[in-house]
Amino acid sequence: MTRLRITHAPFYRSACTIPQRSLWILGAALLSLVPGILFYGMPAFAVAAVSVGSAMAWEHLFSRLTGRRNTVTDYNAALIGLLLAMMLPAGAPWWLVITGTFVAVVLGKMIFGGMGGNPFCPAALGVAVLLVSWGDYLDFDLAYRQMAENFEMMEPLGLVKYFGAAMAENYHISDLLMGRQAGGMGTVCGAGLLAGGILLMARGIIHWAISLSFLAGVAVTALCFQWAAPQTYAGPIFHLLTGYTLFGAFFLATEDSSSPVNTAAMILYGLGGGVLTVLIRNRGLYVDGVIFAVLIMNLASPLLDRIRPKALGAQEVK
Amino acid sequence: MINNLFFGYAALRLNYTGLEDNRPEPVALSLPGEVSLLAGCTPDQALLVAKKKTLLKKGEDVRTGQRLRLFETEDVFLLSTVTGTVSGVGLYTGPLGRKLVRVNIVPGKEEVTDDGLFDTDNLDPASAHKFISQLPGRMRLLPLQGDLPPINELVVCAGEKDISVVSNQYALKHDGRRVADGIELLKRVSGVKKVTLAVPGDLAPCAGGMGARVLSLSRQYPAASPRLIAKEILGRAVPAAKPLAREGLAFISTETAAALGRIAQREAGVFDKTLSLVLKNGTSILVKVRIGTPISHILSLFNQSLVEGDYLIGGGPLTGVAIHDPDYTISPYMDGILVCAGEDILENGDYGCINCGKCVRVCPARVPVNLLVRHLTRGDYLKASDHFNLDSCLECGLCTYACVSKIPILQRIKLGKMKLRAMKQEVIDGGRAQ
Repeated sequence: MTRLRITHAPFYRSACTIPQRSLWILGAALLSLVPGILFYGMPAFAVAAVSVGSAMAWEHLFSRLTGRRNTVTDYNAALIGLLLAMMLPAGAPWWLVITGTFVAVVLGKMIFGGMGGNPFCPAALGVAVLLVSWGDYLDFDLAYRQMAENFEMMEPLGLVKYFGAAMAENYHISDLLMGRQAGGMGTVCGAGLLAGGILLMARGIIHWAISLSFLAGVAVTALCFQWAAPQTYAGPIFHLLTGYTLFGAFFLATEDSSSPVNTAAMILYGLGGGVLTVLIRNRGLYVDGVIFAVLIMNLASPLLDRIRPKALGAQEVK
Repeated sequence: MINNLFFGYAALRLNYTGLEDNRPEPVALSLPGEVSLLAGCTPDQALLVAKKKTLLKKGEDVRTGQRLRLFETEDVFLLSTVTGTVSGVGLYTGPLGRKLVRVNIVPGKEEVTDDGLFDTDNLDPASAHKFISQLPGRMRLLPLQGDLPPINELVVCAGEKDISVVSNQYALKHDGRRVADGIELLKRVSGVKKVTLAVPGDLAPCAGGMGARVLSLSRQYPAASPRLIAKEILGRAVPAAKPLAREGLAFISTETAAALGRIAQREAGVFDKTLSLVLKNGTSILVKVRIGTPISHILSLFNQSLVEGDYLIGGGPLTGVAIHDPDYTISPYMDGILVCAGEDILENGDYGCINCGKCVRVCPARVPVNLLVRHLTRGDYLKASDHFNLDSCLECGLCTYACVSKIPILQRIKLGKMKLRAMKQEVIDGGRAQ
């Protein structure tokens, strides 16, 4: 008798798997990282390579040490490494990158049991630790002072923060979209980030509710600030296209396990992140607030996810 | 069997297969050399079968539609689907390890229908469902009387159980008159006055003049799920743990109604079942086959050979059951057969939930699947039921279809429900022992 295979229904499955999902996000991220590498050259490529390699190495090492199944082949560690590299300046020192990936992969993900258990977005956590520990190395003005370019090689957000809203006029929208600004090597090319984000939203890999509400939160808050004090605060378009805004909206805030899953909760989460971003930028200590805004909203995510529709025929448990 | 659509949001919407106007008539298949009829049995009854002490003996001649009594009790009987000679009565292990009694009958040359089949005047409302459950069709009628509240509405459903099958739509479209006759007969037997005919939206023209209110169903799976239909009819959701029969609703499929219509009009072909056969290369054929035919007989007629590691699925791709034995027979409620190569079916993954939320967005019952599955994996069934809406699940399989981690969510949900039932039964039995 022929031995037939027995499994449980359903036998029809969607083709989307974890490795495939990671690869799609990697591909979308490359849309804005490749222009960055072309622009900054070899130092940028070196940082990206070290970051991806070390992230995978940390995951492999930690799996070996703890005797767990090796999950390097799901490309999630590579993705975390790539996202972390994108937020660093080109030419960041190797030890900084390796420390960042250690925090992101091991402390941000693996100790919580791997994918799905992490309460924070791993890449954001890695950058946050670097930012508060070695802030000078992530100061883009210092990092790029050797580079003589034909445009303002100063970080736009910093300029506006310290010299007033008039500085925003140095930057045309096309400059910001095409990456002619100082910033993280993969986060300056607005056009590439938008393309990647739209691609991921169309594929259903990230949810539009988080990304769009994050951007809406940034725009509305920036508009309020500008309306209150137009000399001091730059407008919404400037805030949307500078710093980590687009990158945060499409790649950080949408990280699966640290973001809510219900639509209403996702919209609140995104809005909260956007509002906090501009608050930190305009009134806070740091030049850019995306990283901390995302981490704070990660904390609120489980609480927000309690806002969920009533299930069919659900009864109150007395 | 793997859906690979580029646009992720579209990939999560699954529609029922419709009846295209150019669909050819069902292929009527010849009778096999032997049919097998299966009935559930208690352990004591299984012992009787093993000792060859059943009332029905090998060598007896039976007629189509004749009630075959196996044991002294009146409750367990089989309706013979062919005219012929009994060639064996024995035990059989069905899918999911169920213990069954199997009666084999070798069909004779002529077909004679037993008069008892058409004797509908003496159908007792309390036991009619046992008779009706052996006619072709999917949804079961609960006892029309008994300890349940009286049925005040009968729902005749032309919607399907799964996305690949069309049996009920076919019955409505091509046997409309018989469906109407069947509804009349049911009204007479049960005394129910209110009948609702639930039909997929595009078949609404076929549903007129049947003496029933027409409820239009969406084409999107699982709109034809009884609980969702009940919500449409009652205007409110039925509490999750409450059986629909307690709300006075009884469900029956149009295919069963058409079979009852044949009985009312004393026509032949009562035990012919239409089912969708999906071959290995993906082509779908509608066939008409006698209940009790071994699946292997059908496969041989279509030159389908099974090799090691293939799948044979009874039902549809989302809620069907994998069958271990090619000689397993066509049951009254098997609306489809899928033959699949092993590599066409995605295996379960070994990841936990990554909280992507696709299951939550696709769930028709709005169950927080991402939280539920964590508790089910831990075996925390009481908590899953009390706080994470385990009972609300319609078991449609969409969450598992969408799952990125490829977790067998539906299996865990069913396991959880079964364990909870067993726990409750233990409490009841313990109370009795006191």
